[in-house]
Amino acid sequence: MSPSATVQDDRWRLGIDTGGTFTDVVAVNSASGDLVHHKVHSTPGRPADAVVNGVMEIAQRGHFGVEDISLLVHGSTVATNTVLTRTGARVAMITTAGFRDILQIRRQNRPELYNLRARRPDGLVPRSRILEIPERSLHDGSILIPLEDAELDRIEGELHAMEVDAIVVGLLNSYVNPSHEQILGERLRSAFPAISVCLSHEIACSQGEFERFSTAVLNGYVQPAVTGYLGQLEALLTDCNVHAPLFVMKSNGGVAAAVVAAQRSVELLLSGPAGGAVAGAALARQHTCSNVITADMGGTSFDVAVIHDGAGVFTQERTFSDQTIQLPMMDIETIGAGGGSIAWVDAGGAMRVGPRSAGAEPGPACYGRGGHEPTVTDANLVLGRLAPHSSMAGGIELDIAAARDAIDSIATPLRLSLEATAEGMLNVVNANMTVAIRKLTVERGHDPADFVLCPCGGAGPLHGSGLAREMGIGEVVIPVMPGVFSAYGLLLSELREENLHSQLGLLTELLDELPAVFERLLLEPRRRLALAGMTTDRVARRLRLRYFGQGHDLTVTLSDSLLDRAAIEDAFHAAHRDAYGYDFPGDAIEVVAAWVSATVELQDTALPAWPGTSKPQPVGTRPVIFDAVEHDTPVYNRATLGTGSAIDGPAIIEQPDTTVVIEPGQNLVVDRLGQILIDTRGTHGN
Amino acid sequence: METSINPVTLEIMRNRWRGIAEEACAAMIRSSYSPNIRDRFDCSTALATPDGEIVAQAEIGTPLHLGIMPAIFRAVLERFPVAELKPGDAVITNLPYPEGPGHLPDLSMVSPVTLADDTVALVATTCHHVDMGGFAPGSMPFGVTEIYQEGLQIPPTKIFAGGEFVQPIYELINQNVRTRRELRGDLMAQWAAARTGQGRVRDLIERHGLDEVRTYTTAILEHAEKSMRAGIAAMPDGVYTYEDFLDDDGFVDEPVRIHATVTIAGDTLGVDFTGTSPQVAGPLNARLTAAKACVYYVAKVLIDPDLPSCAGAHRPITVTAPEGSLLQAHFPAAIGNANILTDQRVVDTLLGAFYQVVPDRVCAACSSEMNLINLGGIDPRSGEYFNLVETVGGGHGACHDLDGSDGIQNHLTNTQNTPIEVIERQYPVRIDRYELIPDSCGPGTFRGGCGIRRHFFFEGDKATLTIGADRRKLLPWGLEGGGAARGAYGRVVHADGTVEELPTKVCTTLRAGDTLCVETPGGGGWGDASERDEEAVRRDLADGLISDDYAATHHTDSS
Repeated sequence: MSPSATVQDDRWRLGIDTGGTFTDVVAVNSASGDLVHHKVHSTPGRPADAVVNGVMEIAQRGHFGVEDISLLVHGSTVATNTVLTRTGARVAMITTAGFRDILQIRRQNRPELYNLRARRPDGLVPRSRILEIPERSLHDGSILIPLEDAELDRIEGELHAMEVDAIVVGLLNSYVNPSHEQILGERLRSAFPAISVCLSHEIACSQGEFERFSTAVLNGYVQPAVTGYLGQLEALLTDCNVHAPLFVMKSNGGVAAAVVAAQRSVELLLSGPAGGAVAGAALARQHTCSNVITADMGGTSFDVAVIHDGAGVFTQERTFSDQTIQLPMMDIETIGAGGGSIAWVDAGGAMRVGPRSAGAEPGPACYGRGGHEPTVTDANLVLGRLAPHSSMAGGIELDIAAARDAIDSIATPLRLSLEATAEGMLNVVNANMTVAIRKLTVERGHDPADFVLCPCGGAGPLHGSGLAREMGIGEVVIPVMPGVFSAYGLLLSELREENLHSQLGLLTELLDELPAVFERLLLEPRRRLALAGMTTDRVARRLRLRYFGQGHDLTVTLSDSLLDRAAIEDAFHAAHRDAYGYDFPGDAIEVVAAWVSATVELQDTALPAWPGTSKPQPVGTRPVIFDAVEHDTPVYNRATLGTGSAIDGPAIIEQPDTTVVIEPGQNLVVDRLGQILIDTRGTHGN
Repeated sequence: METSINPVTLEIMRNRWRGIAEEACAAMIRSSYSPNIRDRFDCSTALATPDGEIVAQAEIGTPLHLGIMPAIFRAVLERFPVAELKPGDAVITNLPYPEGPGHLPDLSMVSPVTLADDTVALVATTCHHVDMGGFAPGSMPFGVTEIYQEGLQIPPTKIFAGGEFVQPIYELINQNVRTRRELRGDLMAQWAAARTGQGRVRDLIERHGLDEVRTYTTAILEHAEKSMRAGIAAMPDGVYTYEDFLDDDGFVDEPVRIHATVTIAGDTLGVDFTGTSPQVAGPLNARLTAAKACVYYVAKVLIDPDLPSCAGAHRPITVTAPEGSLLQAHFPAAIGNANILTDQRVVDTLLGAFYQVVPDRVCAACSSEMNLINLGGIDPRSGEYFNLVETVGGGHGACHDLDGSDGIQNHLTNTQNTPIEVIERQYPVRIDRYELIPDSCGPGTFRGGCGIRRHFFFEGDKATLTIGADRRKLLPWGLEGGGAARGAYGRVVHADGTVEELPTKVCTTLRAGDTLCVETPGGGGWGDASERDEEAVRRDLADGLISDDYAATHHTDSS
């Protein structure tokens, strides 16, 4: 299957996204383009059950047999939850003698500047299971202290007594010379064949001991859970006669064969939100604007990802649940802002919203399940954006009286009307969300006005038009299936394997070696693809560069013609000007890392054409408050809005999994794929 | 709150201003050159009204920088009244007298945000530059008595005028510093932050109109003032005193006293430092600016860590110290190490006083010295000057219900370490140890944190070492019967194996093959150590953070 694994037979490909409350499934028929989607309740105790239920039920809904499934692409939260709930493996770590506390000291800074009670979270390996071994490699790759056999014997003996599930080896300067880690790895893998052994240079081969060790430990910590889960899922699927290959979404927005994902489990930590980002990138490709911001808002959290020039934006480092990861990942910003976020009044009399959330239990006051504090969902209900007496996914009847009581409790101290308070809550939560969006755009040198906003998740379309107005974004695209957008994204993904190595030196000195460096780096991604039976010629070569002496770097993608020095230098100077407003054209440029990716296209899933229709007819009207004025607002059923429909705001559009709000002065058209395009400046015309 | 102020808009405006400060700071960190900024974040950013009243700060780097910012705006506006500032101007200063940055390496840059040639706001940054010339690399020497010896003094001076780089000023400074590439790179990073801040503030005004921005700027300051007053009023009125000491000033082997009288009266807080030692010969002197920063830090810590860092929060607070005292020293007293030692001790003194008011909110003494290392000389590999700047964290003091953190930055600094793999590649230095020190924690029902041991093996030919530490004799104290922690130690193991114990405050020379061994203090404990939870003792023993002897001495039930 090379270079594309695209299949055009009459079979079904499934995207399955596990979420906290629901597991979403989307199925596409390769030949007809038919598309079916479905939600089943998640089964957090044994998430594989919900996946299998989802597969079986969607086959029934789509009237196809499970033997007609050709491919399964899965967004899994197993790694994510293992870390969040701290239920991972019992890990032991081997490190260079004298450096036992690298993981504990971290970067030595405290988590909050002004809070004497804030504590660094505990690491994933207690000090008692961190073993020191005399050895030392230097920054130039030379060996100062060799590894002695007797020490290997001692370490092996101590590990036997510890009864661990995973062993991580992290040695100083192994990113330059991995030989000691390799010797330890060989010894431990043969001594403990049933235990996962992770070597820091294999997981993240970059400079910075704390970040590399931390990434390797995270891998060891989640690997047994991920391996167990994927094994169980494949067995259950086989029992149900589903024999299609299983791929898993990774934090880098590509998928990996289950067998590869089981080895590099740390790459699954952002498996869930990455699906949404991939769907956003696909939207950018089919749309006239190649810059897209996806904004996934659910009950408790808000995930933002940015697509620039048609490609997802990457980061090299982030923290997840207070643990540091250093790998190329989709740059996804998550904040605690959702329908359940609670509003309150601070000591100085200002209104704040979040980060506390009413969550799914008790949920917003209007759920009538014991919540009494005012939440964002309550505000949407009081303002008429959500229909009174409407029922949410899961069949909860909304109680508007309870919502009004809750909001009243803060309206009084704020000396605002009930409606002004509710509208204020939406403005504050939108402003909080813009901070997350600005981090990914403005701080990276991009102007949000050059992007379209794609709100998804259950609450995204309620806030999308307001958020866009707040950010100065002109266009909002509401996808056809905002509630299962991440699952849909899974079907649009490609196999993607990366390899990044620190490769420090002046560009002028490294230039001649680069082609060989890139070829060497490509061996590992090709090996991983081969495990899935794939080969590819689709490779990208990138360099992370900086001025000599500078700390942070910028990434330059090389085309073949760019392997000449002047072209690379020009590209870097230009990138520096874009990012910081100045450059030093005469200065030496230093290479920080070489980074390759190899990809295989899985399929080319196009959304089916959306039917055209006559003039849109509202199903009714209801009063909705916009900017302190009550508007008698028409309400439409999304399923009846055909291609070409045009509506002037204010308007409310309802569909089973979400509600779309169009503000006064905005208008929309429905495109040929059924997507709602909102013009926030109202210039679509009719 | 005024009725015309909408509490929703207020919250949004406040977040916008803070977001701008953070974006500017991020731009500076990303484009900086020295590991001191890019890896350690020894820098800060503030936005102010044209009068120099701070509206928002980026809470990223060091609380000390942030608390000193008001003085920087005052110093710059004193020399360049706001009407004289033109679009594209940027004024720099590093001069602590009469008020300004805390010591010479901290170079601040202030630039106007202009709208039709009128200044509508100010943007400021402070970066701890790697070197500002003077007696020793790093410009924080010991063994000196005057600021002239510490380095180049730059009174408020334009480095950009109308958008043009003022080359002669730059060349003058550049000629006086040892690490020139870093100076240029970090200075340009400050300019990148200034431009980012200017652009974003202009966007804000374009969006909301100047009148609304002004109205809400006033409201932001009033809101912070109201919050601070409410927090002070909730504490019992009274006069509380405490004193603490630095071991010595590096010249005379006697303790240096810091005496604080804290007066809480209604919704105001006054701190007077009468009773503090007169100014000293060594470079531990400070201006009142620094003491104010310490008081602002402690007030925010005790009242509400989320309180916005703006001028309004400072209005209910007054700080005084006698002229000619350690905390209001006269020019040209040496001042370079007050930031890292004196000011930390001022914080300990204040926490000791507030222990009598709100015991549940304070902690026992932390390592409370920054253990700053400046190691500079010619790198034999490149022939160029290098200067490694590093502060080493220590143990945090315990709280009434929590152990202190091990090996962490405390109080006025929160800089990161430079990764070992970066140090070894960038400097002629190898790190041979970096670990927690068992038994260095102050014992208690809740123990203090452990200190850090870090060994630097010098691979060059010859380098000047400055080390600034404290708390070797007068140890980090415990509270409620909790014990004191182990103190600070430093020694050089020479290439021939001889060991030289170092004083806490010293300038000396390292030669090829020498190893500098630094050990930082732990944090004080809280409560009777014999009442410590047995499971916690077992865990510390298993983790090797305390020895059997330590457990037998402190955790054996006395009954």
